[in-house]
Amino acid sequence: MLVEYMIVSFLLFAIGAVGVMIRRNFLIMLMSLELMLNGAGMILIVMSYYLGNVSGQVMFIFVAAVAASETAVGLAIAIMMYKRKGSIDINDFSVLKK
Amino acid sequence: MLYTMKDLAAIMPELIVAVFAFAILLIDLWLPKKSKGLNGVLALLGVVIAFGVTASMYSKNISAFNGMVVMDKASNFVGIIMLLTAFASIILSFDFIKREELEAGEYYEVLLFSIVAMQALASTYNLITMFVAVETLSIGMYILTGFLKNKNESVEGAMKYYILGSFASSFLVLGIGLIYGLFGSADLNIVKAGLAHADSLHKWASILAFLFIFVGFGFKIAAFPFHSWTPDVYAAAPTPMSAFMSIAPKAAAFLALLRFLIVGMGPIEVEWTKILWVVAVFTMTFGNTVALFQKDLKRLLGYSSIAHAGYMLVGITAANYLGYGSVMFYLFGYLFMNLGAFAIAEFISTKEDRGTEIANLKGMGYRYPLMGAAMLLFMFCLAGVPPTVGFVGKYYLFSAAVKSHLYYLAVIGVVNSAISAYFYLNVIVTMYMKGEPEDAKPVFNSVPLKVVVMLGALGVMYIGIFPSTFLDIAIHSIGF
Repeated sequence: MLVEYMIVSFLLFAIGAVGVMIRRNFLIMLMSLELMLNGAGMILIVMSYYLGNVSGQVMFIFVAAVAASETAVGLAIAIMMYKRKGSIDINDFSVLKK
Repeated sequence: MLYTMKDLAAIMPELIVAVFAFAILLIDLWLPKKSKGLNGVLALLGVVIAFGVTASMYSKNISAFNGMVVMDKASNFVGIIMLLTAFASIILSFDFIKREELEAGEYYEVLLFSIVAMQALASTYNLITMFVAVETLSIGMYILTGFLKNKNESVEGAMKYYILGSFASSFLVLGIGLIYGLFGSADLNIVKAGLAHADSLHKWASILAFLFIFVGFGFKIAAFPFHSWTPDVYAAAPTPMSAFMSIAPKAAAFLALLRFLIVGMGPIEVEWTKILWVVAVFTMTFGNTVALFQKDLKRLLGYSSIAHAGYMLVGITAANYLGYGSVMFYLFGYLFMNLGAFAIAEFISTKEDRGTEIANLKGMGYRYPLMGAAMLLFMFCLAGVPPTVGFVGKYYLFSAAVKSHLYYLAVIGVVNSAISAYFYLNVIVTMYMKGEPEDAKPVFNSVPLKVVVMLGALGVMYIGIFPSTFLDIAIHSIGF
């Protein structure tokens, strides 16, 4: 049981990470970031169930709350990007030199 | 479960800053457009009061809220560093906000809330509190980076910072999840007890968890593979905020990392020193090498801050109390040198093109002799030339490495300091030896800025010449 749940969590995390790396649309990247956080948060819940210890679920509530406020700021940044360039493709934003 | 006055005393500095943040949020609604400057005064007042309280409670040692929050010398020492930085950045912001016509209310409010988060990060042994604090402070920093919302650079900087920052903090959650799964708690003292007699499977899994958590902290302190945001964000953010970001979150993250490594990961010290050895070497070398090719002062300071994070990692890699204390001392000295250098970057930027290119420093040494002399001092200090605090700090960091028989690491550190002298001296050469002064006159020539520069110069010299008191306090601040 535990192993399967862990595999699912890591898989979710990995899908999110790959999504952030290969997608160039800011909104999709936001979703991928959310997937990463939830994949990692799922480990907390799985472990909480496995250990019979409720504090992991409380921790996940903190993680979820933080993730929500983080996404709010991300959406604000998406709006700023759209207002500047009329696009949320991150390749359109490359004025800062390497 | 009752909370007592003792619990409240442990979070007194945080409470004061938070109260002022809420006050600004409310008062800003009623302030007429032309008296928005009052917000800045309020923020400054909050920071000063919190500083007074932190200093007066310096040697207290309180554990509160069932061990979720602690107040000890280390948290107060870092609190003092953060509040001094906040004080100077708020002073620098007064004219910046007027010049750029920014919304003063939101600016100070977000700044104060991220200070609360940093104070919380510095004063906890619980990983989940650390995560919430790291995220809260990062959210504030994302907003402040993108505060110049009419500038493409600022939007781009905020976007990059946001994506990379959230990416890194997901790894932090993953690591915390593993630690919780292995030891049944996110409290570092319980983790230590569990790790002390763990079998090899638990040990290897903890090393994996350590790597994931280090991604999160390494991002905040700008260690090597997670550094790439630093120059972009420093160049994009409002300059007072670049100054703030280069010191305060780093100080808090370094203390949290120290707590995590010394207390939580204490039993696997041999393994993490090996990993940090490699990270420290790459961080120093990368920061200094790339800084050689920079044309912009703020980007140069960004790469230099990566290199300085590398020097401080040397102190942690040494894994002895001299090393940990030297990290604290170096952070304290770094506060003065970096604030001064960023204040000068603000000084040279003109209203028209906001150029912080190093070329704009031409002839500055003659036109503004006092500012030029101060910049000379800051650059010498960053390069680690005696009698400044940069020399004393580096001396103790590297001698801690030698004390732990990490001779190669110390040698690499010294070689890196020598490389760094090239680009810091290049700034000085530009100021004094690159021909006649140009006509472009900085419009931003304000009294608060000069005060910050002079205080920075004074701090750099005074602590450099009489380091013993500060060194003593810094070395004894780490008591866990």
